[in-house]
Amino acid sequence: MSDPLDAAEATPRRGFLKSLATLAIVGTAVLSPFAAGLAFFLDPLLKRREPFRGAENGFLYVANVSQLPASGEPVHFALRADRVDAWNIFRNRTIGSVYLRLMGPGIVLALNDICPHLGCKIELKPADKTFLCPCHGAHFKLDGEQITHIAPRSMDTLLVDVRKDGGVWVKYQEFEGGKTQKVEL
Amino acid sequence: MINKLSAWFDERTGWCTAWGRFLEYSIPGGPRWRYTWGAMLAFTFFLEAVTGLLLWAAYSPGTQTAWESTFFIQHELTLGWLIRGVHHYAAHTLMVLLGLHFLQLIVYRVYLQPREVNFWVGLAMLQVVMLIFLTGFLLPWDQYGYHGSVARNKILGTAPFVGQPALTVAQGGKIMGNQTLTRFFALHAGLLPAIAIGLLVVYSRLVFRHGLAVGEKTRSEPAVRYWPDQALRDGLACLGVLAIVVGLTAWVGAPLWGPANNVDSFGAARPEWEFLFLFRFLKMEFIQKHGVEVGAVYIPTLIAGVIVLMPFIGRSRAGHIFNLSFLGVLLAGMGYLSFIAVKEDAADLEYQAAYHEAEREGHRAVELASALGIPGGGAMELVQHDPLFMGPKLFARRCANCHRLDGKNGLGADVWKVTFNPDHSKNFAVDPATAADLGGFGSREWMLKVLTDYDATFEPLKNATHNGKNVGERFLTGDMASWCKDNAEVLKQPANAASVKALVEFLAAQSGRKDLQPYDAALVAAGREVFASATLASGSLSSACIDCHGMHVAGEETALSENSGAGAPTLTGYGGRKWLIDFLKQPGHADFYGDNNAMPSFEQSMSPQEIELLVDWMLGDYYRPEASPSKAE
Repeated sequence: MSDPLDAAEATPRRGFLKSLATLAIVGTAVLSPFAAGLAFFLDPLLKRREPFRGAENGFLYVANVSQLPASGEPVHFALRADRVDAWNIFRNRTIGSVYLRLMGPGIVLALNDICPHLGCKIELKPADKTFLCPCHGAHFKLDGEQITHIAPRSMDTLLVDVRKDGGVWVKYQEFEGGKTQKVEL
Repeated sequence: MINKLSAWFDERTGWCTAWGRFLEYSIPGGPRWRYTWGAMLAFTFFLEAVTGLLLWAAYSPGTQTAWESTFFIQHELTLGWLIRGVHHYAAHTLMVLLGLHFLQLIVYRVYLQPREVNFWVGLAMLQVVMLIFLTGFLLPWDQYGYHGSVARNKILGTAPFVGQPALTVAQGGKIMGNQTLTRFFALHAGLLPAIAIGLLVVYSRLVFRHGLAVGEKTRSEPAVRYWPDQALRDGLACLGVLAIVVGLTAWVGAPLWGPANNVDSFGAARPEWEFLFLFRFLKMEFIQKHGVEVGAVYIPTLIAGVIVLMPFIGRSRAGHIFNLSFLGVLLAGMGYLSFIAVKEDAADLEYQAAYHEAEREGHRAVELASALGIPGGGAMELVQHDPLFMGPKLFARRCANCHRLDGKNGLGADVWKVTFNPDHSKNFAVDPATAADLGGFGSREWMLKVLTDYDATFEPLKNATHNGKNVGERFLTGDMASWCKDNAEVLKQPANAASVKALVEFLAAQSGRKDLQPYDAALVAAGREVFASATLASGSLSSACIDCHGMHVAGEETALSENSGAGAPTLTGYGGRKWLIDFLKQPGHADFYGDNNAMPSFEQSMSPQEIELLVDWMLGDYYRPEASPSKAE
């Protein structure tokens, strides 16, 4: 045979090198699609995509301070913004909800209603003045501090900006569930 | 240690032994490049499977999500363009490799006893792969996939008895929609690949059963084991396939046309190049005479029948020669038809224009989706509200019968009078305009041109006829034309250049157009003086603008002048949004051309939204990307 590829059989050393080269070539052909595929599949880890648009410096308008009772009873409000979901943008949708409490003149407490345990929506129990998660029974005081230790931390507070016109603006964030520390999603 | 482990494993599975046997598999006559075919086919199929599964994780079948998710894959997701491009070009590669493989089988008579069943299983595999290929092109739900599939599905529907019911089932209804996408996706990614894999298993078992088909001469040569010599060739061949596919992806890229639009005709619709011959075949005269089903169902079935019987026909020498001739004629015919299809398209100016328009729409759709995000109603909702997407189309359809835009039809193509020759080729004669060229309408240049070069601006009107009577001459001999003629000299005097410029600035400013801002306030005031008084820096005009035209400057209590009612249009807001909208609705209104009007009213024939899109486009009021036009990924 005149083909130079076949002459390699002559010495075991060249045969070994050829085996190695073959392995490398076949490996490249077979594995490179997986390498590219891995980057494609892990895109959610590689690129951060904001879940909503329309916040002013991160803050969303929620309500007017006049809507909050002086008794300090929490009120549940939905937040509206432009929801971004992969390729779609849905204008003016509810993107989350919070409890607001008037703590004093011009002082508002904002609590995310997502349970820090496993993410259920926490309910207000006005009768015994507590928050209760309906899923696993995590129990919180009205200031968000936990009563039972089912959840790993107290309810998540959010940054609040009460403006001159009485507008209550909240920096809406969601946090990882099941952790003792607040880690933003 | 490793040996012990593999022995333990092998005892329980037998896989190590089987692998070893595979590597030791002896190749009669030693390694050959010709033997790499199977590896290349398997590798291309593997590429399709890997990229297909990945795309599956990102694709959403639905009329409002298919194009949208494909756009997201192509332009937003990490390496999405690569994964989709490889999937696209590997599909073409698979078709080519399979076709060539069958050529090999027939030319080398590999189908002879005992390999008839191999051949038939292979043929079935080719059919299944073809169906995977065809169902795949609908999935992006873009203009090409959609309009191509409409035609292909109709072809299926022409098959006798079962055609229409089969089509209804495949489409999930009488027309294409959400259920078509879910079903085509299930076929493309589920059922058909499962069948293909089943056939591949049967096929490879048969190949191993009968061994490689080699001639007596090769068989007499010493056999060489598969590893590493043949494996090296296989590996290099596969790497070559990968290089071609990735190369095409990097240099050309998988196309994504505009979102499917079932309202407008799509003159750029063509099948994938592999099926271009069929497209042209169906346009042949004898097919037209006997019906589509003859060309698309009966004749292909007959040809397929002959190919199925080739193993028997090819037993004798004469039969082999028949098979080769049959194949030769078939390929020559396919090649010829593809060639003339390409040639005809290259000479067809309407097709070229439609193709460029398809490119423009695809580009704009992607630009809007990237910058603005896609509303819940899908990308069609996005583009149908975009003046730049819709305006040129509307101009071409509704205005370009008479007007031109910079000499073209609004989409950058000429307006033609088309005549058909007996050989189906077309002749294109540029059709003269019968109304003003609206390029730059309402701009400062436009105002200046009307004032100083009225005849040239409205010259096309001399061609305007209605019921055989000329309806345009009256504009060229009317009051404004005479005024321009009488004042031509004074308007063109260098000493009056500033006065004319001021007049133009006043007219531009009162239109309220955003695209003409900023205005020179001092010039506007001076221009207003000229408009009202007819006095120029040197001499004066024969009559003032206000003597004929109405003018009520926006925001002022009293009008500068009322409309004379003599057919001179009111100039209040001339060239601006409201003026244009009102004008398009009723050009014959007393405020516009009155009894002199020769332009049709569009109040009934266009929706208010269409008129607004057209006007906003003419005024340049639409989304423009930032300085860097394409969002680099």
